[in-house]
Amino acid sequence: MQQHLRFRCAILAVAVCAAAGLLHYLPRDGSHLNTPAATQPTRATEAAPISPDTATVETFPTPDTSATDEELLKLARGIASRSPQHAIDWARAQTDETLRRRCLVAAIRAWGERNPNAAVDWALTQPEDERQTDLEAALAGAVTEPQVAVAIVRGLLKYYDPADHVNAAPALVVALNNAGQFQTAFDFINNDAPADLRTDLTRATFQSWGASQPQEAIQALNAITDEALREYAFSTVITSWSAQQPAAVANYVTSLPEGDSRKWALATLVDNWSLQDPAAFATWLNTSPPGVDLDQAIATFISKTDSANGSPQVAMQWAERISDSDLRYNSIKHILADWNQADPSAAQTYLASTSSLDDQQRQALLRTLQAPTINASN
Amino acid sequence: MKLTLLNRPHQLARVAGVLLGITACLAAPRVARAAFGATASNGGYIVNNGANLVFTITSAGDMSSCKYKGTELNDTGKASCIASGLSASSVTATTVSGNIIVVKCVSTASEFGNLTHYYIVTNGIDNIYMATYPTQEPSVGELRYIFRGQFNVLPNGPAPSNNNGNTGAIESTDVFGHSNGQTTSKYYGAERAKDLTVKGATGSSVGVFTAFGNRESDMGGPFVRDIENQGDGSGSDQEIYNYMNSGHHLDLTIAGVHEAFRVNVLYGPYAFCFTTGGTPSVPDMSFIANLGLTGYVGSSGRGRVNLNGLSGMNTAYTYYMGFNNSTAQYWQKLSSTGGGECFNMKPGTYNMTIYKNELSVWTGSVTVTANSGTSVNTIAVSDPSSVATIWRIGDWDGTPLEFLNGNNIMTMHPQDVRNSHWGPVTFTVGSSSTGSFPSVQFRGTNTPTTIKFNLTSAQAAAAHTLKIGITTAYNNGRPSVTINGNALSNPGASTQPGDRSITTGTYRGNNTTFSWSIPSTDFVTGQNTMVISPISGSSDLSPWLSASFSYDCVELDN
Repeated sequence: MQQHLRFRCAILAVAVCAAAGLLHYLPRDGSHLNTPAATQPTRATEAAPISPDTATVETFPTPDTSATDEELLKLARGIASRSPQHAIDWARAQTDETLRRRCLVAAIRAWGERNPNAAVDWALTQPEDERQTDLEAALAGAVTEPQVAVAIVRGLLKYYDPADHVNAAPALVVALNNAGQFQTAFDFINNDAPADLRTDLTRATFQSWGASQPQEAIQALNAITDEALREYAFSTVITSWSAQQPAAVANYVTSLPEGDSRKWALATLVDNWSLQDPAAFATWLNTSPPGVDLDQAIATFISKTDSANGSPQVAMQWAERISDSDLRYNSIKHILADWNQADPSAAQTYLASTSSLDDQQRQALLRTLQAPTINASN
Repeated sequence: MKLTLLNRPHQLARVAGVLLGITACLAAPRVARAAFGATASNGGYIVNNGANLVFTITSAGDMSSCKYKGTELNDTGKASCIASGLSASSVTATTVSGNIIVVKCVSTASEFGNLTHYYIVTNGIDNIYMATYPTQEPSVGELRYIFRGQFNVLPNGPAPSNNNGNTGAIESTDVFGHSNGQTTSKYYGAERAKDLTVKGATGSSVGVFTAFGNRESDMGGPFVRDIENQGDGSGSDQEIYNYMNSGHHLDLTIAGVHEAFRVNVLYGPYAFCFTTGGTPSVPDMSFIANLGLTGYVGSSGRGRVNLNGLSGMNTAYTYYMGFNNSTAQYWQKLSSTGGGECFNMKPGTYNMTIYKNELSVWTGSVTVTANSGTSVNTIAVSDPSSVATIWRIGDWDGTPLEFLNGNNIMTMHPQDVRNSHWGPVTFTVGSSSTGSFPSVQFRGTNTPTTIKFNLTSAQAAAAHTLKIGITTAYNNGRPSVTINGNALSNPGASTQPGDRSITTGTYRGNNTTFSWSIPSTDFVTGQNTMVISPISGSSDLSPWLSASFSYDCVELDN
């Protein structure tokens, strides 16, 4: 108990320092916390829970089950500003089970924003089947002051039984990522997170980072010394980045040296870009530098487009550029399937006259075009 | 004493009655036990299960007769069978330990290659257990067992698939209309694979139910639905199915891998259960482990995965972990903190997926070894709902259930009168309810959908990302969008199962998110108008079989 109180005092000191902008000057090993270096494992459940303030009973509005999380949080903030206990009571008073849990998460988060230490302490005393989500909610609030949140979890991992608090690390990383505090999350992973969680936490961080701040994420990759982990993070960033800004990824990919990374990134880019914006992708293909695997890129482009994106004649011009016979055949087949619906005469004229197919392929496609399709009656 | 008895005829009769009763009680089991067995008949077998079932397996490996308490349940003209008939080249029966009969049917017909199907009964239990081992996918493109019951004997099937009294097909030859405006089809009313237990039809003092059994060899993962029943109507069949795989799910992608038919593995065991009308509990099929079925992997040859927990869960949703590779698939519901254990997995390396309801929020891999457990540390999931938005319609969970008519997709055709009017819908952010936004955007019916939303001057001065998530699409349908009259680029088509989907009772395709980075010049301060329409290069067959997609979520990011 004494140790627990010391820890809380230390955390409070860190909070004050952080608020004053002093944290930067504190050592990261926790030596400033005035806590014994050799820790004695202490279970969170042994620590006395810090009860929210008690106050007179008030009536608070009952939210609708359709309320968004943001709306619930706004409501919870208003109540928690008067008393965290009121916010918890308000949440627990909801009759709908799902709404009750959502309100509780909002209440704990609102509490965590105001008093992160107390909210985390309280969350750790909750029943096992709720503890993790309560802890995450408290940390989601705590990350309004990221270094305070990090200090809390660092303390849990360092000064208490790590087995009890190992889940605090992913909870903190998720909270930091959701708050856009990617560099802080990455620093925490590298310096404080349990070793066996680092791969998954790194991936989770770079997935979010790549989606919202891809350039910064790419830069941060250089700080990863483990080659396998760096590759892992790289693929995560490319996947999320190419879904958001394919043109920027294209520029980046073409700057990479030849190799597996570039090949993989290009394939991911082609897959995403041909889905999201085929017109822009086609423009890039037309100006793509030498070395790009055009065959596969064109085939992917054709497989995801039809006359809603461009005329069959233009698509056929693309298909005929494919040098691989099988890829070219499948691409022409894909285009003909739609073309035959809209203008069978033109499609069959093309099929009869193209020199891009051999006779066997031509006959096979003719049979495909003549196959019946499903009928709708009424 | 004897005289006394003679002088009291009523008492004598009572004693005699008791004695007769005792004799009958003693004799009854002997009669049943004597009946238990398989009798060779015309190249096949007549099997008596020692209780209430007598069924005939023909030389072709099909079940031509199935009598329960003497009543013929099976169609008298069409057999119950794998596919449309097994055409078996070999049918053999074996009695194991005196109380189990295994009828093994092997077909080398070209459509099956080399397929083994088992019928199994245990003495005194009114179940027919089955298992199927294909070495290639049947050429028909699906693997199913169909029990062809007589509709007149088993008239009470699931309502959504009861076509009795229909007024004709309204789509293809398998979706039917009724005079009251409702619709039925064999596709409707099916559960997700993860929810399958028992299902069937009943009649007067009789019921037949499929116990769907082990799904590890099926395809499509935990959320696919497939045909379970079809009531053909009076004078015809009550079809009770176990679909093990089908082309309905081809092109589904799980953890980035296209699902394919799994072959050279055992499907099942599964069972058909016969009752006096009550719904049976899922039968214990563990005894089948000792029967030496081809492809059966016993518990000692299996392992397990233990997940410590999840971070980043949304408490409003149920989470699952799923596993798939070319040999098997598994899933497990997770606890409120994301922990869980998946048992009885075949050894191998699996893609592992964490689902928030039906949406993948994490993928990785895990290796399972026989007779051992693999622990997975707490996973930090990536939830698209955590992105800050200006507005969001619905939520990311891989389903359209929260939207207009979303809960009806699985049980009726979209033109069914029980659906609310589909629109076109104009949705005003901040005042319209989520349930008024269409679950499906049909090009031929409810297009366009218009979204009206307000932006502050600061919001209108910035670029924003628009995201539209879909759960499946038909006929290459995808969203085309205009903002205040400015057309955004037309996306390409997503990869989806090639079959009909939305009109055949499912929204489960490949979850796909389309996103656009919209420049600030497209926005205005105050009210903005967004219009969504499906585009496709494919022609529409009808207002409902038109290019379409089902929504998961629509949002404008902050």
